[in-house]
Amino acid sequence: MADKFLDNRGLEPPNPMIRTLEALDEMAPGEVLTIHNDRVPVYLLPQLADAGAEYEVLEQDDGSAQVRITKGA
Amino acid sequence: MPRLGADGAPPVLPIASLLVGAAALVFAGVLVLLAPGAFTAYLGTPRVVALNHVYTLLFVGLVFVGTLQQLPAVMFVTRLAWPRLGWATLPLFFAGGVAVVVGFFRTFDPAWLAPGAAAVSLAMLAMLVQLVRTAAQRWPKDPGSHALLLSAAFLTLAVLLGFTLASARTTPALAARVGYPVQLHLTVGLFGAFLLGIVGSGQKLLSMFALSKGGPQWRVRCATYAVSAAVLLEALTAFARLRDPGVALALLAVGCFFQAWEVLGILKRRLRKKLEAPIERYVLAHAFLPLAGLALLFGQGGAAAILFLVGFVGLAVSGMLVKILSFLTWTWQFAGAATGGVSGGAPLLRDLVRNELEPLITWGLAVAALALAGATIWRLSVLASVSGAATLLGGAALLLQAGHVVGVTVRAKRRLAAAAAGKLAKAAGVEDAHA
Repeated sequence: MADKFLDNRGLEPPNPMIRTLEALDEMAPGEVLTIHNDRVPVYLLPQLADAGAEYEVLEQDDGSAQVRITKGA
Repeated sequence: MPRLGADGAPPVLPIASLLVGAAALVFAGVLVLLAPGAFTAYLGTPRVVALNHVYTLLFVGLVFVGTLQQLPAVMFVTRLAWPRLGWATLPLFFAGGVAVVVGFFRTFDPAWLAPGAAAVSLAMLAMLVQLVRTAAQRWPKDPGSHALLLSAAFLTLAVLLGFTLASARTTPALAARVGYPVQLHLTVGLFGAFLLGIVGSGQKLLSMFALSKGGPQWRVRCATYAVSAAVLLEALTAFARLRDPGVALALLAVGCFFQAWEVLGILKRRLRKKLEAPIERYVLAHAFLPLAGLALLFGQGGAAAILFLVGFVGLAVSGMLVKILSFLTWTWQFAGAATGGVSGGAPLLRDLVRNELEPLITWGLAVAALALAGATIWRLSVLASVSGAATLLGGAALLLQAGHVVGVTVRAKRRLAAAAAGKLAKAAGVEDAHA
């Protein structure tokens, strides 16, 4: 199955976080979701750990950030 | 090289502010216990005013300004301007606050009050400029952010008015010129700064912690307009000798009503059905708004102010303090890594909090507010003693909780670092053996 992608740029907080956690909720374990946010979503990262996911943050040159999230079992 | 995602001030600044704020609450409890009789008579005595400033400046104020070092970057989706400015402004605010409290204790001693109020004013002005500069990089369009900006402006105005009051005590010419605007100082501080601060930051934080999708925010805008109009009216009453038959008070009630309505709206839209204990405390705080209104209707202004400050503001701020501290400390220790997650060994957010402390904080502060209000209404010093003991209990539980959150997170990071260093040393040993 192809990775899912969410472009959260331009959204007002906390909508990027809620959108991401909602999408993650509907995914199967092992599936990958990549999000693109205006900034590194620091408050999302502990929530991802709480949701049993793994993440990798890729900071972009323009200050935005992509986060590759793998849903855990 | 900047730390990953480091958009706010160095996290140790807001964390220290929040910890010292929690300690101030313990101190407030001790002060009430030492002189419970002070609350059964005139509430303008030096001791009561000093205690009031322990609560407003050293507890709520420190939590407020500490939060301003991190939250705006998240709310405005930008970087905090001059992130190291807090190294100067936060200690200045604290030192000034302590001097103000000492000045009141020493029966309104201007030798302490004037420099203290000047220091707090200078610190707040610098923080307001920092906040506006941060917002100017990407001007926020949502009413929650506008309420937060206004609340910081009102807090600055409240401390400047405090400075004016302190100066008027020593300079009769100034007192003759500007009068003695105590009512304006109270309205700007309690409603302009604290209520709007809770309206603005609470709208974002409650949505985030309860996972509530963005809905119509007109109620936030209405609360902001109502409180701002009330402050303007109070200012005209104080300085332009305008007669107000009670419109400002009605506007403040309207502001409180819209805030409570907005909280209900956020809760209705939430995805996370079970709220965590600190968030429940934040929500419960709003039950004190109608109680304060009721006390006011029965002519109990002192009790109304206590129910608003200790009940509503105290519970709301202590609830958010625990949640903000959990996120701040976690991100301070673990968000700097480019990778992480459940297998990384970082503690889970829910494991940072000691659940058994939460009811002590919530019910300690709730009983403290009710008992102190009762002490002023029925002039019973035993109720003030109960309030002091409850504040001490709630404050100590809050301080323990805050210390636990920081301690658990920092120790977990150290364990992980030690384990990683051990693995590296082992790998190096294997390589040496092969060589």
